[in-house]
Amino acid sequence: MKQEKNWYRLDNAAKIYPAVRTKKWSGNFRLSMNFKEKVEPELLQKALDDIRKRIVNLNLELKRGLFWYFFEETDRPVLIQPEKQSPCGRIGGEHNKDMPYRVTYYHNRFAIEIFHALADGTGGLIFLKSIAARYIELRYGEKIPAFQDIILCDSEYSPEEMEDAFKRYAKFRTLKSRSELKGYHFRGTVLPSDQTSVITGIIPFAKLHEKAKEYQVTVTEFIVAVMIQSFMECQEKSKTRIEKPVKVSVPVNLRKLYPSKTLRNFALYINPGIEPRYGEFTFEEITEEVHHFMRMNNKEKYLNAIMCKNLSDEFNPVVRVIPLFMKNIALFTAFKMYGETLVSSTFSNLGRVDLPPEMAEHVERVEFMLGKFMAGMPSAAAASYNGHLYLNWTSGFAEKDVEKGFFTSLIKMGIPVRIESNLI
Amino acid sequence: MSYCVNCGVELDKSLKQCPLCSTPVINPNDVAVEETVTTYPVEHMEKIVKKLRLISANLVTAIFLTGLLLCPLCNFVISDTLTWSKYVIPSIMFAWCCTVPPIVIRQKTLLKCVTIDLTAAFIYLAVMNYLTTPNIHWFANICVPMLLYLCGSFILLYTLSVKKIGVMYIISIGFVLAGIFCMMTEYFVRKFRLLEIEFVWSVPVLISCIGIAGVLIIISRLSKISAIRKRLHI
Repeated sequence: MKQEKNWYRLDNAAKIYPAVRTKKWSGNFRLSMNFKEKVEPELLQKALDDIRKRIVNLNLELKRGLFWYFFEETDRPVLIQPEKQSPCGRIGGEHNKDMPYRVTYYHNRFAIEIFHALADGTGGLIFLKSIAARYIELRYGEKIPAFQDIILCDSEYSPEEMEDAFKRYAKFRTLKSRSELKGYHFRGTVLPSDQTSVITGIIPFAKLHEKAKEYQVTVTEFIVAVMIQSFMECQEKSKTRIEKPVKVSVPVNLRKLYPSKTLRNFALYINPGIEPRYGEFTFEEITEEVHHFMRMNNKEKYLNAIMCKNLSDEFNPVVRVIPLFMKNIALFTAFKMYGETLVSSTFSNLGRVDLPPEMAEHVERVEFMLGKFMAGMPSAAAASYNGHLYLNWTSGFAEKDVEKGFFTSLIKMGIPVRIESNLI
Repeated sequence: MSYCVNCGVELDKSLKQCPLCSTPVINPNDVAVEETVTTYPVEHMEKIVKKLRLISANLVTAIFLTGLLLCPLCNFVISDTLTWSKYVIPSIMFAWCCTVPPIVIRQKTLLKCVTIDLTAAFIYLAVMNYLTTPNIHWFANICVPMLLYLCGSFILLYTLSVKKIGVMYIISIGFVLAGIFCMMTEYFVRKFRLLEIEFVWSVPVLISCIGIAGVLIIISRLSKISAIRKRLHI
């Protein structure tokens, strides 16, 4: 008798992504690791195959139900692919059909590009580190010890890895409204849909930390403030009649507030920013605004209320019985109204990436990158490793005013920046 | 190790220009540039854009070609000879000259496209004159002087725009030239129809155009006028 395949409901945050996916765009992000030596594709394929036997999330494919999308377990092979010049392209089609991720390699780097319905940045980083651990074992014959959240092939599976943590931790005491003003959007010459411009800034972490400390803020708050300043300058240059608020969406990892081990989505967004209608803001004022907003909103009670609001829509009996194709139209409209339009950009900071010494001696750097916005606005993501912060700007526009403003502001503050790009 | 002279950022060895401001990297001491591995695989992105443009141009050409083939065929099948389709063929070719070059040409688009359009207009009108009324020379008597005037006007406006004399001035001169064009039209049409030479409708048009041009020039100099008003206000 044919064995019934396991299936999983999409978590609350994941539900929007398949609905808003188009033929040319899907909400992705990418994590990559550079080794000190060239990647051996055969060994990388073997490492992926081995780790897939242990991590359930990497064996899921996206399927359509009558009312909702769902993930179903599959034993279909996933083939690694050579990297393309424009990373984070639409996932689906090509070699791997409806697998919600792809693994690519180029020279001494391998990357995992993940459709956001499958996992968030923290989950993705665990996949990346686990594949890398197995690859290093195969390539150098070293036994990698159990370290933090790295999943080894012989470690024991915990059902908590697949849990929908939103549902587990939502308290339903109160719901928080999401009404917000629309944010400023940078506009420029749109690149073809299959092209994404990537500009990587390599910044000494100590200098950045020192500067952030001068302003009495965290590194994330400092970077967000510099981003807001850069967007503000672009808005002033564009001479728009009515100036809009400049807001940057910052994902908050809820695993720091709740003891969940889920590898799926478990993050929410808070949108610090400034309102230019109140007048001109100096950089000190912007840092203060961002700092206090983040401190005020990054609290368990407020975040839980947002989580409950999101879940209440999902639990609504009317919403549940609407067929998927109609739900997709409604979700697409909601995404256009409340999704990208509210904010000017996103900054996702994965924080410091730690590796056991057995891995660290072979790894040169770890990077995190967001796929471009549907509307193409520039967005940034960062990860720090080995004393450097790798900050990737991705954009769907040819003009680089925002990125230039951001990096030159850092230079003016005495923070050196080294630039890499796929725009040669 | 190279730095962008404009932004101050350090640039990766594989970069030939600063990705932030497009300033070219010139470092005579860096001899190893050729051997550097690029940060991302190179697929020549510009070619993709060009390819897209070529696809659009080919698509438009295919649509025109279909008309070019179908019209004579239908005409021949129905009437056993070419009657109306001989007028359609040059019209389709003229329409192709007006639509495809703007898609393909990327540098100095306006100059090149207008040159092509005016040349195509000369040929198209000459052919139509020959096909429709070979014994009446309206092309030589009306079209040639008018098209030559249009060429001259375009050269004048283009030269002025290159010299950057100001948008308002160029638009004002454009209005005056358009007024003169109307007068020329009336003159050549009346001359061709062997009527008495007098200007009836074109004079008010020319006066209106000069009026609009004057207002535009005044608006462009408004900053100076406000300075006068400031000193002379009652």
